[in-house]
Amino acid sequence: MGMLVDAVKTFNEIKTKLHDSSDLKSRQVQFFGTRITICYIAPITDNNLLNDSVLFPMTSEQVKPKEKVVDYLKNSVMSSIEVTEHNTIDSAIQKLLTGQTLILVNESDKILSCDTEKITVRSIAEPPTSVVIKGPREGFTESIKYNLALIRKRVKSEDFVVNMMEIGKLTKTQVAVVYFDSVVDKAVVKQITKKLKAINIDGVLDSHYLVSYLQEKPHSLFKQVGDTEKPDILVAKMLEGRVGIIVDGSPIVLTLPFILIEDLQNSDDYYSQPIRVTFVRILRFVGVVLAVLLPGIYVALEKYHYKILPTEFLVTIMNTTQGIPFSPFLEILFVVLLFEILYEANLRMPQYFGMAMSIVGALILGETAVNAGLVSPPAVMIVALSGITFYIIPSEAAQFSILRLIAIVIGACLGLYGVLLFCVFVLSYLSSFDSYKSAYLAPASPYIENDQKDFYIRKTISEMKKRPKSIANNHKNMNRRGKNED
Amino acid sequence: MKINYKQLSVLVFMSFISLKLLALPSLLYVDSENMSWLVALVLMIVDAIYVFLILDLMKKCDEKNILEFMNKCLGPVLTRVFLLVYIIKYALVVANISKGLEFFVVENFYNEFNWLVFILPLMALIGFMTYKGIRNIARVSEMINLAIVIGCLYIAFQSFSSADPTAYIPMFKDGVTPLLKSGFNHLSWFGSASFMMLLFGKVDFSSEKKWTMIRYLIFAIVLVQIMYYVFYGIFDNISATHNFCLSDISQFSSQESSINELSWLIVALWVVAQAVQLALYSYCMMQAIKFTFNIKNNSVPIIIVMAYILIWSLVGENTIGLERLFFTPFASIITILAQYVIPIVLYIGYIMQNRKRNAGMKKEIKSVIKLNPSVNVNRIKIGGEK
Amino acid sequence: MKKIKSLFTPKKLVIWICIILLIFTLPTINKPAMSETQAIVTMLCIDKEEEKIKAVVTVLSPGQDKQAKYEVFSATGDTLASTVDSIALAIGKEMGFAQCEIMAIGEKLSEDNIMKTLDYMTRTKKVGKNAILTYFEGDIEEFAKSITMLAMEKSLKLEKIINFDKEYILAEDSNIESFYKGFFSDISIGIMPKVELTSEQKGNAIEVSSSGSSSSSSGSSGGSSSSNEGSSGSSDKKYIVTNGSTIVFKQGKKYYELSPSDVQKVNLFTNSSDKGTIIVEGVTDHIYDDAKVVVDILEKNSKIKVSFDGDTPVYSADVELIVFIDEVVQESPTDKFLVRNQDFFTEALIEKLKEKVLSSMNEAVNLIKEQNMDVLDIYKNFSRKQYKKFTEYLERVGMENYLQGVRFDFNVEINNEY
Repeated sequence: MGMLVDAVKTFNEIKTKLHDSSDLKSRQVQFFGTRITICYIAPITDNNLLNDSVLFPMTSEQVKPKEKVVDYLKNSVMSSIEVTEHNTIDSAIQKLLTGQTLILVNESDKILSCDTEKITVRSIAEPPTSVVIKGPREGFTESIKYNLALIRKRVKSEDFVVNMMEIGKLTKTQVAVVYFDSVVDKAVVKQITKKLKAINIDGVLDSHYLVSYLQEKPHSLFKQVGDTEKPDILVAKMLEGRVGIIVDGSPIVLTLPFILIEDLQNSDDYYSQPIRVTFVRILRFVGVVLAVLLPGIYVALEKYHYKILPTEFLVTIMNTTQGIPFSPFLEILFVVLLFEILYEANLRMPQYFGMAMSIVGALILGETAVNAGLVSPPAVMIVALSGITFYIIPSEAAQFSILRLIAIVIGACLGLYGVLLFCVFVLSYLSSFDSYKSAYLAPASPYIENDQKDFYIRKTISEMKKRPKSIANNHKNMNRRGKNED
Repeated sequence: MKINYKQLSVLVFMSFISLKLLALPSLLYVDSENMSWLVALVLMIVDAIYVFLILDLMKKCDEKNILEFMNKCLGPVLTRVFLLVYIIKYALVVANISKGLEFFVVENFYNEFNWLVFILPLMALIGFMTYKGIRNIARVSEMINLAIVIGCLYIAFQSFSSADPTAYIPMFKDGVTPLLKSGFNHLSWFGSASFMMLLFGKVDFSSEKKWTMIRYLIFAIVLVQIMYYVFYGIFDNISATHNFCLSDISQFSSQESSINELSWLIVALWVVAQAVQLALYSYCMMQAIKFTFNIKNNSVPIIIVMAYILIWSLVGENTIGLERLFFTPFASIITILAQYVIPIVLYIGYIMQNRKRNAGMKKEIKSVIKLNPSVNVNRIKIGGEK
Repeated sequence: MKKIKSLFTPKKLVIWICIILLIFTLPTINKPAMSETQAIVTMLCIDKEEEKIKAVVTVLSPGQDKQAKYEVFSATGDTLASTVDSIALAIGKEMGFAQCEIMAIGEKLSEDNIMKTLDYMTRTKKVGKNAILTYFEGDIEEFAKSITMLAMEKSLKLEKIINFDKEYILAEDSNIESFYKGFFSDISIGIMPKVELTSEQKGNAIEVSSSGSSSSSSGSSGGSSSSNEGSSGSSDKKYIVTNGSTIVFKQGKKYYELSPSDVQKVNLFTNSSDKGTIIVEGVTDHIYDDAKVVVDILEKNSKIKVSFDGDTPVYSADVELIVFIDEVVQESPTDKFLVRNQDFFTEALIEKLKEKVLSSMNEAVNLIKEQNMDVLDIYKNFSRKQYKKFTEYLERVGMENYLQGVRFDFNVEINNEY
């Protein structure tokens, strides 16, 4: 851009660049004889702010400027916090698109921009995905600024680092990589930043757009990127050495590295009594195993290994399955699918329907299916037990229901032997799975003694003196409290 | 892809108990009768001593793998010959475990079973695990370890009170000869530590704790002895007719209450342990093949091992017969070589080589001192020892 | 070539194997439950009938609610295998013996070596070795039906009864496993309990409203089968008696029948069955006047010691009985005011009890010597604890006569308190 002479001309140029977008508004003002064009994009500009920090000071200024108009405006008139000079139209347009107001001064080679951004955000509420009984109820919102504010509110340390970047050719979404400098493993941050910068995509509308770019094995069934909707969880994770990725427009913040145990931990765990939590944790572990394997084992036992069953139980099964038209496999499959359908339907339904739905689904459908002789009561019981145990896992773990289906098919094909080999296979697969230098099954394998305090046993916070070693972090500085060892 | 010291200990532990708790007790009983526990005890202690010998060797050698180390000590020809012995040893063990597992599964869990349905998923699993490497096998072992130990102890203590201690007397009824005979005949079931020979340079000793390995070894021996005590104690003079120590003990305890039949599920855990063991020895076999024939990538040796498992179960066991392979002096001699002789030879080789190097170093130091008398001799480390 | 090579990397090979496996196993995916294709046998009775093998099986079949329903099938054939097969052919299901809880051996079958039968059933047909083994006299089919009736109508299971009773009456565990142990020992003696079916009430009898034997015809080779279901036969009462009669098998053949009182005497030596009652009569002292006293054995500790006195083997048993006075029967009731059980425990009573126990033990030993059947594990004890001397002794007297030369020492102590 050369010498700017005419503000109107410049405005027209901007207008052309924005393809005559009709929400681009402008206003002409005379300032001690100099014509000034103010332009902004109406929906994202705060009118009050614009009026208070630009228009009102400009029109009420009494003293004639001695310096150049542009400099005078910038230094003495405008009361906005952020006033920037631009030498090119393109950089000015970038600001315009984020909600700032451009001030085009006649016979000046600079464009001023000032912050008049209108932030539209829903109020901070408790996120529905992670409800706690006792504990902080604040959740992230869709605004990255607010989200950062929520974190900053909790963290008053110079160690907290925010790395901003823009991703998306068209959306230019702001993405922040946040971490504690003294805790995090720098190599991990570097790796994540590199991966993020390499993303070439039209737009990022939610943080989950980034997940497949960040996963080390994008086609795997298993979750490899953690997510949270609550600032307290994010900070807790960062304190253990994880990196947070905040995306503007998404209340879900991603965390890396991710290990499997995180799916079984809940923020509530740290706000309640350790012994109870230990019990709940063990329940969750058993729950996962039951949820995944129980239907498969049941089919296997019924089809191949009746001799393993105690006679009394065998009698019950024989009595209840007589006259069922399906084979054990189809029977279980039928109930599992029924359950999955109910689950999906329940999820999408408005809440007040949901309640009625679950009663109809669980009670009436199950009962009538049994009475109609389509399925047997043990099958319903087994699948219901397996289904219910899914919900004691804090986060939604979709992979387990897929695993359950596979286990059922294998149980029907190969019996117990197949199910057992399947278990070894899954364990072996997960063991070979490293997420950003952290072993996926840690601290179980490799066994990490230090981290057993927060595994199936949860010791008190005061006993957890060191940061977890399962997660790749700055191993030089492991102490959570007291003097840092170096 | 290194494994750490703890994982190595777990692998040793698992290999110590895995082969011992199925067919071995009843086989031992044929010759050594009520003194079979002693045969197992002595041979396991010998194995344990060898664990420390090999461990020492592993710590001392800087070489990346066993081939380089052997090459240096013994020369390429002898190295190849030794590795061939290992291939045969692991081939035998793999055949033994896969056959034992098939027997175990079919006898205990199924009425009729297609061998192909047995062997194909096993092959797939073994292929996958060996492909993923020793670290993967170690991690899986680490995870199932506790469950298996608890399962074994549960089964053992359920019948513990039924075991008749008088089954163990009189001791040495027929002298020591039957024990020696029994020990020699079934030597191929022992030699559990030999797999470590193929792991040179793959263990991270940085997290080493002094007692880890000793603890695991003692526990392995005690666990096996508890199981043997219960087995021989409850089955007494008909021990030889009970093919599977673990499952037969569990069924003995289920006499009075039928809910105990669910202990089958604990017995089923043993299938997992055996599958992981099979993966371990297949991995060793693959490594030995890789080193012997200088194959660069892993794929070919893995496919060879998988093919071996398939062919063995297809033709091998019907035409050659497991018994003729295993219960002959051939298998025992291979074990003696692989487990007891080669480590000693290597150790001696290492010491000799070290001495040579030290002598060379001393000469060098002397010449340095002559040239420059101000060098402090104490500060020059003598080669080899870190 | 490269393309072909890339098809056979280990990773892809695993996928190939899974695909092949699926092709093989998918057809089986829809197979019905095993309990539908297999007849689940819960009891198996075998006997001989006119030189042919007769087998009766009780098969579990689906019933109402949680109640188990059983059906009885029988067949005769030349061999056990063909007999079992003909039952399978008749009912159109494979026979599954894994849940078989009782195996009953008939009178005639036990005249021959029953090991063949047991071996076939456990090895080939996979009957669990923890199945209860019993001996039965009479019509085996009727027996099976009665046992089935018992289970269905009274929810009483024979195996549970026998397992419970062994604390009182039987000398040993009575399953196939322990029979094997006995059979394969050097002296080859095994025992099993006898279960009787009678029409008069006696001993520990349980009434079974037997439905009679309405249609129990059985073909020799075709394997016709009969079910007792729905047949309402005559109303004659039948009793199942498990009073402790025990059959001793030697070399796998029936050798001797120990009567209930014999068993009680033998039991005084063992620790495995430690309950029972002792009745003494004619107790007279300051409390009793020619009374009949019934005492309950609460606990029994018998310590067996084997030693050699010179060349004579000595089998000594120290038996300590802890008893409780159950009942006193005498014509003129005592006028003394006695509160505690110990107060009844007088010297005279103790003497009488001792006398009784000692004489029982002596009788047991005499019986054993007379019949030359070592049900007291005398051989086992000596061969384990005094191996060398006993081997010499055996060489001297021979395997057949070792019992005759053994000296028995008994010492009995009777206490009222723990």
